Amino acid sequence: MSKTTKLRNLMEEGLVVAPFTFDAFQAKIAEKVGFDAVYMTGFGTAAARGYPDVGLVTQTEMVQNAKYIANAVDIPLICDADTAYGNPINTWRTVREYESIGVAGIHIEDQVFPKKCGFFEGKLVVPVEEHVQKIRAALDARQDKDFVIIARCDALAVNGWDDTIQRCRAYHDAGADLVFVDGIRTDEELVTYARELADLPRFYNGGLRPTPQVADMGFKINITGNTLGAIYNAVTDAFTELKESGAVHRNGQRDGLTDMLGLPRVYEMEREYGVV
Amino acid sequence: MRKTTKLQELFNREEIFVIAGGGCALHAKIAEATGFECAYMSGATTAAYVLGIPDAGLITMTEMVQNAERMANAISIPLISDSDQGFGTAINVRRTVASFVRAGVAGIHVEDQPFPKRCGFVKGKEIIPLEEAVGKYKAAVDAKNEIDPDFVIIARCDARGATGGSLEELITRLKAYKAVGVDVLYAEALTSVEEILTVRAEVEGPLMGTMGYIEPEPTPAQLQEWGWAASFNPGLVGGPGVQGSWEHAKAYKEGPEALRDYEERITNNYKYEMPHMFDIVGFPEVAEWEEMYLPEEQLKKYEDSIGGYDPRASRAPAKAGAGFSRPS
Repeated sequence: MSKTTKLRNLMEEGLVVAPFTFDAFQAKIAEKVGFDAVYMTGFGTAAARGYPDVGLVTQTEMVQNAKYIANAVDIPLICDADTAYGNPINTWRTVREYESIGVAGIHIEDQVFPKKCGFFEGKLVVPVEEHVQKIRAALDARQDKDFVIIARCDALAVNGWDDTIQRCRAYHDAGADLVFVDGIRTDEELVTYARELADLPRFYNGGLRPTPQVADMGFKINITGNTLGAIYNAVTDAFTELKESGAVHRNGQRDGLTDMLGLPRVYEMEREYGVV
Repeated sequence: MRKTTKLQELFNREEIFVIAGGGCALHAKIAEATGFECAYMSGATTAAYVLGIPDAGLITMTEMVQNAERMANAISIPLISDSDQGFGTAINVRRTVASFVRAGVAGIHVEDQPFPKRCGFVKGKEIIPLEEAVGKYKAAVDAKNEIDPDFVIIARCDARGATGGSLEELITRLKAYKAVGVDVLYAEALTSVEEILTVRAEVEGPLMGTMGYIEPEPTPAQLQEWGWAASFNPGLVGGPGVQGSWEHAKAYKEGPEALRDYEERITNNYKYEMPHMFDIVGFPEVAEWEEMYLPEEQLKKYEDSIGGYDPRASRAPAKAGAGFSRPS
């Protein structure tokens, strides 16, 4: 079964929890832990290249990164596609690029190019009509009808709930598979989101509530996990320990790591194909 | 001498120089081999040759830099690259400039169009507000000064043909761009010789521009007389190859007779001597290195193998088409 169809089936069954990852290694960990799907964050992809998430990373770099992640796991990969890197024509190419490398779905936001992280100051949104055209272009571009197109709306911090609700309904009417209000900062906002758009398939970015509760609120996909924070803290701790004591003892174990990366299969193949 | 320093010299000397454009490393090699002093990577030709897509802002910065790096590395003359509108705001421009500098490119032109851009000769062009454009050129100059001050920042102004634009707007903008320290000004798509002379009289510093609207197209000698620093020809190397590829493919598809006609018309009547493509890209060097570095035993492969091209011989120029249509 294709990963796009897998993702559709998972959404039928209930909430799909897709942890944040920004490389194939983290995606393999998510799969090993037992998640059914995984998410590639643009914030993390930019961070891994030494940049903040402000639209400096190109579509080519995002797709290259997504390709490694998609190839590393058997579970569906959902990807950040920022503003789709331009107008509806660029959107068309962006969908084709992500789809061709085995991604199961992408979200496209209504920010002005170049974008900013959904939680950063200084966001700007394009007129609703302009984003509707991009959603239409995205839907027309996909070759596999199961490829999931998620319309992300960044208007909450800029224009408030009325505009956000209106925009999400317009994106849904245009045919987007899910809507995604980004920049949800409080539990109250999360409740408003679930209530005001109760009838639409919804996507939630964050961890304000545990995933079973997010499922009860009727969301279809929840991207969450604080991966960057976990890495930032764990690596800072390890490096601090190394700097101060000359060695790393805490969290030094790597049980199962090479198994996860598929080393046993390489040995098997060496025997199978007569490589030394 | 660094290629960036060389390019600064070319722009600032009395004598005009020709910028020979293409869209792949072979085009750059041909520009160098035929004696041009400066090669150019056209965004339109790159989009077409490398990706098979139109020049409508669909190509990414990463793809442009990758191609520019290949072209720059293939030659010892400086390469100027198209960098569209810098791929975003002033913030993106800083990364764009740094990326092209690291790729070994000697200079780029950045245009004052909104993202995504369109070709300078296509209707429906727009320009961004002056203040925004000035901020972008300031960012470009700051970025190159931090890495290589000789890297050439060319401010391309699309105001002549853009909606709401005019010659006056173009001149105002070129002056403002020059004031923040760009190295070269590029007036896109002027429509007459009078306009060329007016722009020259009004603005300081090295000038270049496309001449597609002016009939007959000015020669480098004329441009030099009018005070232009460079004769800019984006399609000089890359353009004609399309016709050659098309005609040959079409003739082959039609059958042996059409192919013979083609060869008679093009290949056999070619008036210039032309090196084999493998010579242009340096196959003879490989044979030299083999003699220098490989065990003698391994060189015997030349004695008992078959091949229409022998890289060991420094070959006399072959007739046109050799290597392109079939092994000679």
